[in-house]
Amino acid sequence: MADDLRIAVASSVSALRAQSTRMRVLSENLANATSTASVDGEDPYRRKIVSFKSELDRASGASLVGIDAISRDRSPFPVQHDPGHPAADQKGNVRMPNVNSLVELADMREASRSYEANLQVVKQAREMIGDLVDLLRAK
Amino acid sequence: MNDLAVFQIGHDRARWLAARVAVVASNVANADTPGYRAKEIAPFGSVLNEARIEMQRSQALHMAPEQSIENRFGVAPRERAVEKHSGNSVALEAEMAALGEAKGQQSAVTAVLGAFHRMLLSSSRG
Amino acid sequence: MSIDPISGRIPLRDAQGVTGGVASLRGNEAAGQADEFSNLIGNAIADVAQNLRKAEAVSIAGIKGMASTQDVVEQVMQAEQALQASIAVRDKVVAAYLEISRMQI
Repeated sequence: MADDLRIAVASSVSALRAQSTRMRVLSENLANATSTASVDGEDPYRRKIVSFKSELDRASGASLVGIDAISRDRSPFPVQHDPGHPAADQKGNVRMPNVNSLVELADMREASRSYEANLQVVKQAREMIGDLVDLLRAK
Repeated sequence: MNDLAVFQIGHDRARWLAARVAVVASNVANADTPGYRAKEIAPFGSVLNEARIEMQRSQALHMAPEQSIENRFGVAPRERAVEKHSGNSVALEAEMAALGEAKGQQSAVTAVLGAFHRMLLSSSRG
Repeated sequence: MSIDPISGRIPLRDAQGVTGGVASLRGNEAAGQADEFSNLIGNAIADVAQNLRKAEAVSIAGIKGMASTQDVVEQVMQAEQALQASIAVRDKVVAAYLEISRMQI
């Protein structure tokens, strides 16, 4: 017979890991928001994107969430005019990372919210298991 | 099972609440899975539930193969779910509210089960 | 035989079986009524044993991760209640026996 409370914990724990990874990638993007190349011709930092997937664990029936892939954002690099820059081209333009800090920060807030929500589920589900077990303890 | 209905009903209710939490957990875990649609467990009192609850009680001791929550209780798409651009329709606030409600109700059920259990044990001793 | 869980009373027909069985141990019909008496006790013991076995099986499954917490809790509680009720029956039977054996003098 399925232990639904434990299934709930398993789902949430898998999501905690996935959201952690997402936050790590977002941090990386933020840290590299201005990481240009050091010479003309090289690419600046290219934004990373995380995609989620979910799998049904046949044995337990739990919906487990994971990272499908960490891919690179193929959108074009924005260009800044900075003739003195080591990576400036003949026209004096430098290609910047295709990272928008505001977008990354908004994503980070969302990821953080999701993380906290999953944490709440783990906490409440574990307490519910505890309440049941308490029924058997010495009165 | 002794003759008091409170135990049968109490345990059935606790089972349903656990399944509800599992559905909420699945929704919250999948809040960022593209295309995932928020689900909801069928209400406790629904007719379909009763047939399933009967089946569950008889299966409980036979270690029957795992039955999904869909089969045991019935699951439907969450009402009034708003679809985001990713195709995902999970709203965290709604899920957290459902979680809090389930937790509170389970506290009440286990308190009642515990109280009647203690009463039975002490009255038999008398 | 069932025992009312709240009041501890045994239904009249079962109680008569108990006291009747004990009282006629001396008589010729003693054999028949003693059988009925021991059947009552035997059934009660069998019920408790069955409940305990069920509870044990589910508990073991629970420890192995193959049964839910819910199932274990439910079965163990039931076994506890049945055991407590059967102890009450035993106590009543013993009390009735002592009562009657005092009367024989």
